Amino acid sequence: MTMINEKKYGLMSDVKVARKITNLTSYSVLLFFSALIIFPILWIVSTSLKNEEDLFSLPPQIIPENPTLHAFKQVWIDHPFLAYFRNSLIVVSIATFISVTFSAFAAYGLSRFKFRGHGTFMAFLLASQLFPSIMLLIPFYKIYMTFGLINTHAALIITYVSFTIPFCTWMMRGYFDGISKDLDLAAQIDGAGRFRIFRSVILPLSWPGLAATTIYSFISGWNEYIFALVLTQDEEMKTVPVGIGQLVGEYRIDWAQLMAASLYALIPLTVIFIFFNRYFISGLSAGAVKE
Amino acid sequence: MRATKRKFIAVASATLVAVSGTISLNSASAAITPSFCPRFTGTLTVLSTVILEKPDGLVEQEIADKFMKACPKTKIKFIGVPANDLVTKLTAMAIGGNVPDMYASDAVNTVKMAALNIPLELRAALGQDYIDGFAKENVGEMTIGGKIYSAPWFSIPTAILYRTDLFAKAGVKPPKTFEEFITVCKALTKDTDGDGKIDQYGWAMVGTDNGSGQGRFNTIARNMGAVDVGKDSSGKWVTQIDSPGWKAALKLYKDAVDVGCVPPGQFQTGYPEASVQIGKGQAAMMITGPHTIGVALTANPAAKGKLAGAPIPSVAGVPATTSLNQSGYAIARKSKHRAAAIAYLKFVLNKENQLRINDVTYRIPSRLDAQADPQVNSEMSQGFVKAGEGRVFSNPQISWYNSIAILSSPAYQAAIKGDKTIDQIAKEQAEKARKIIADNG
Amino acid sequence: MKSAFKKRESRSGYFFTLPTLLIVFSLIIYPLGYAIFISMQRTNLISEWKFVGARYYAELLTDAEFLNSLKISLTFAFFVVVGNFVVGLLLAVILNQNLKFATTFKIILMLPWLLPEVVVALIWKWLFNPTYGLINYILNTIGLIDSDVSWFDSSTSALAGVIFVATWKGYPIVMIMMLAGMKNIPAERYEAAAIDGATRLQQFRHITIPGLRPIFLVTCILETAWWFKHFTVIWLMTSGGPAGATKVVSISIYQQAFGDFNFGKAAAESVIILAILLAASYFYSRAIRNDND
Repeated sequence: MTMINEKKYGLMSDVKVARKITNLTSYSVLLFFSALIIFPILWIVSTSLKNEEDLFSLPPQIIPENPTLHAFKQVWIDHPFLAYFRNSLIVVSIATFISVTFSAFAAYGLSRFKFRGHGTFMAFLLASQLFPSIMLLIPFYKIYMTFGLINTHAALIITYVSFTIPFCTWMMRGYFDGISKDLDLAAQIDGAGRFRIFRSVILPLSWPGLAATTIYSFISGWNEYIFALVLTQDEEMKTVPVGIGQLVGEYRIDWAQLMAASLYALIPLTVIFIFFNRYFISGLSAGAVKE
Repeated sequence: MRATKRKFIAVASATLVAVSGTISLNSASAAITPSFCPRFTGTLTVLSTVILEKPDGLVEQEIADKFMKACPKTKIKFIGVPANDLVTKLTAMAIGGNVPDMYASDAVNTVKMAALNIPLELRAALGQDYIDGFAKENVGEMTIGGKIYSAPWFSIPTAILYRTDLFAKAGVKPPKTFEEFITVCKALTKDTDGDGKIDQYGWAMVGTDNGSGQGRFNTIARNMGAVDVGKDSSGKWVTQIDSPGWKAALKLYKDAVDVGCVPPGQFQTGYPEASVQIGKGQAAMMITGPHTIGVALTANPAAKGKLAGAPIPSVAGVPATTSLNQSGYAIARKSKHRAAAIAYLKFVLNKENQLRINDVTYRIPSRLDAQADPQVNSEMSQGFVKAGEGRVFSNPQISWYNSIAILSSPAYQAAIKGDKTIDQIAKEQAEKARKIIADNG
Repeated sequence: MKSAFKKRESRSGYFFTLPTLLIVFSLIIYPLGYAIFISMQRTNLISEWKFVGARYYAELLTDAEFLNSLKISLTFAFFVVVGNFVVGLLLAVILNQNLKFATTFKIILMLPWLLPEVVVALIWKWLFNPTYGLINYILNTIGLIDSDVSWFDSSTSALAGVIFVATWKGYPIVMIMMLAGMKNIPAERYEAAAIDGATRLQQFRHITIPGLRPIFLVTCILETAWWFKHFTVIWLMTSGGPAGATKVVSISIYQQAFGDFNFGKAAAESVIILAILLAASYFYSRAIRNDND
C-alpha cells in the first residue's frame, strides 16, 4: 500500500504541494486544540504542586512560587489509594472484558442473523441507556441487597457491564455491518461453522472497533462515581473516583491532593490507550480483504 | 460444602479464642474496663461525613480510637461519605434495609429519615436527664412531635464573621441594622494599594444557586421578619415569600451588588471562595458560622486573631435570629447493637471530646457543660455563641421543605441580575411555593 | 427447506445474543418496571404509598417549569452533541492521516475523556472564576479586558459556559469512535477515488461520510441521550443557576427524588425522558438510514 502512495505522489508534484498545505493546516488545527486541552491540565499540575497558602493567591501563580511534591506523597498516606487503585483495576478490567466479549457476540448475532425479536432487542438495549441513571440507583441497591452483593466487586462489575454493554453492542454491530457478508459466505462454503467464522474471519477484521469499545468501557468504568460510592462501604472496597470524590469536602477542598490523585488516576488509562492505539494506526486496515 | 466446613471451623476457633480470652482476662479486665463501655463484642458501623473532612475527621478518628482503647471489645468502623452525597447514600441504604448502627444526621436529615421510620427515639433511649444536658435550641431541632430522633453534636450558628483588623482600619463597627450593613459594606470597599483597582470588598456574599447560598439568604430573610414557609395561627402552612420582609432581603442583596461592595462574580462565589476572600482579607465580612474560621486560617494563617463573630442585624420588632446548622448522630431503630451505640454516642458527647472538636474546628458544642467552658467563650467565637443564644430558627420539619428552600436562590440571583423587578420575582416564587404547599400540605 | 434455514438462522442469532440479553434484561427490566409502577404512586418508597394514577404525568406535561427544564436540556444536549461531532470528526479525520507525532497528539487530545467529571467541572469553574481564575488574569494581562469579567452571570453565558466545558470533556469519545469507524472503510475506495482525480473533500463527502454512517448513527443516538440526561458537570458548575438558567431536567429529577423524597414524581419525569429519547432515536435512525438509500 505504501508503494502505491509513493508512486501516486511521486508522479503528481502539484498534489505534493497541496499535501504540504493540508499538512500545515492539519498541524495548526491539532496544535490549537491541544493548547485548549493543555491549558486546564497545566493548571491541574500547577495546583498539585502548590501549598495551601498559594492556592488562591492574587495574581494567580501559574508556576508555583513554592513548588512542593508533598501532595503526591501525602495522598497515599492520608488515604488508602493503593486499595482504591486495586479495586478499580479489578472491577474495571473484568467488567470491560465481559462487556466487550459479550457485546461482540451479540453484535455479530444482530448483524448477521434475522430472528424474531431482533428489532425489539435493539430498542431494548437502547432503552436502558435512555433512562436517567440516578433513578436506577435504588432498584440496583435493592437487587444487590437481595443477593448479598453490597460492598462486593461483583456488584460494581455487574453494574458497569450493564452500563457499557448497550453502547458496545450497537457500536460493534455498526462495525460488523461494515464488513462484507461475502466473507461469511465464502467461509461457509469452505465448511466453517458460524462460531468459527466469527472468531477467525470477522473478529480479526474488527480490532479497531474492539479497541474503541474496550477504551470506552474502561474509561466509563474507571470514572464512574455515584454507583461506586453507594454500592461500597468499606474503605478497602472503594474505587479511585470515590477516593477522588472524598477529597471534595463539605467546607473545604483538598486541592493539591485532588489534583495529584487525578493525575495518578490518568496513568493506567494512558497506558491502556497507548496499548490499544496501534489499532487506530493504518497498516491493519482490513480494506484489502474486504472487497 | 468445603466452604461451609471451613467457615464452621473458623467460627468455632474464634469462639474458643474469645472464650479463653474472657476467662484469662476476666479479673483484670473487670478492673480496667471503664463503666461506660458497652457489654458488646463486635463492630459498630458509623456512617460519617465528618470523618472525611480535614482536620475534623482526624478528631473524630481520635475520639473513636480513644473509645476502642478503653473498650477493646467494641470496634468502631466508619463508613465515610462526602457530605454532598450523604442523602443519596443514606436513602439508598434506608430503602434497601441496610442502615448502619449510627448515621450522621442534621436537622433536615432527621426529618427525612424519621419520615422513613429509620431512627431510634432518643428520649427514651438516653433518658430525660441526659437530654436535659443538651442546649435546648439544639435538641429542639432534632425533635419531631415531642420525639427526639438525632443527638446534636455541634452547631455552626450563622452570624457575621468579620476581619477585626480591616474594620479597625476603616473605623467601623459590626452593623446593628441592615442600613448600617450597607454603609459598613461600602466603607470597607477600597483600593488598598492605590493601583486604581478595588482589591478589598465589604461583603463576601455567597450568591451561588445551592444550599450554602439558600441557607444564608433564608437567615437574613428571617431577620427581616419573613419566613419562606411556616404555620399560621390556624396551623395551616403558609408562605411569606411575597411579604415585605422577604422582598427587603432581596433588595439587600441587590443593593449590596449595585453599590459595588461585593466582590465580582457573586453567582460563582460559593462557600469555599467566600471563605478564602475573608481569610485573605479580600473581603471583610461574611455571613457564616464559626467553622469558617478554620477554613479562612488554612487559606491564610496570618489572619489568626483577626477574626471575630457578631450577630446578624434584625429589623425593628423582629428578634435577632440565627440558624444552627447542626450536625449530629442518629441511631438506627433496627440496629442490633443499640446499647453499644448509645454508649459510644455518650462517649463522643462527653465534655472532653466536645471541647476537643471545638478546639480544632471552632464549632460550638451542643452540651451545656462544654458550652460553659471558657474555651468556647473565647473572643473569636463569642459572637457566634451569642448569636446561637438568640432566637434560633429551625427549618420547618416537613419532608418537602427542600422544594421551598430552593426557591430562594433563583430569586436573589434574578434580583441581582435586575431583569425583573423584586415584586415580580417575589410574586412568581410565592406562587410556586403556594403550589408546593397545596400539593403537599 | 427455506424455513429450516430460517430456523437455523434464528437459532444462531439467539445463541450469539443470549448472554447480553440476559445481563441487560435482568438489570434493566426490573428498574424500568419499578419506575413505571412508582410513577403512578405518591411514595417515599418506605412508609408512604398512595396510588395517584396518571396525575404526575398530567401535571408535568402542563408544568411550565418542567417544560422549561426539558427545553434547557434539549438546548444543552443539542449544542454539546453538535460540538462533539464537529470537533471529534475534524480531529479524527486529521489524526487518521497518520501524520508525524499523531500518537502524541492523540494522547493529549484524549485527556479530557480520561479525567473524572468532578475534576473537570471544578477546574473549569476555578479557571472561569472572576477573582481567582486564570482566564481573567490572562485577559487582563494581555490587555483584552480591564476589569474582572463575571463569566457565568448572565443566563446565556452560563449555559454557553457549561456547554463549552461539556464539549471539552465530551468530544474525545466521538473522535475515537470515528477513528475506529474510518478503519472500517476499505482503503481501496480512497485509492480508486484518488486515481479518478477526486479531491480530499470529495473523498470525505462521498467515501468517508457514507462509510461512517452505521457508527455515526449509534454514536449520535447515545451521545444525545447521555448529554440530555447529564448531571455532574452542570450540578458542580452552576447547580442550575443563575436563576434557573441551567436547570436541566436531571437536576429536577434529583431534587424531586433525593431532595423531597417524592420518588413517584421523579420516576414520572424519568419515564417522560425515556419516551422523548426513544422518539428521538427513532427519528435519528429514520433520518440517517433514509439518507443512505
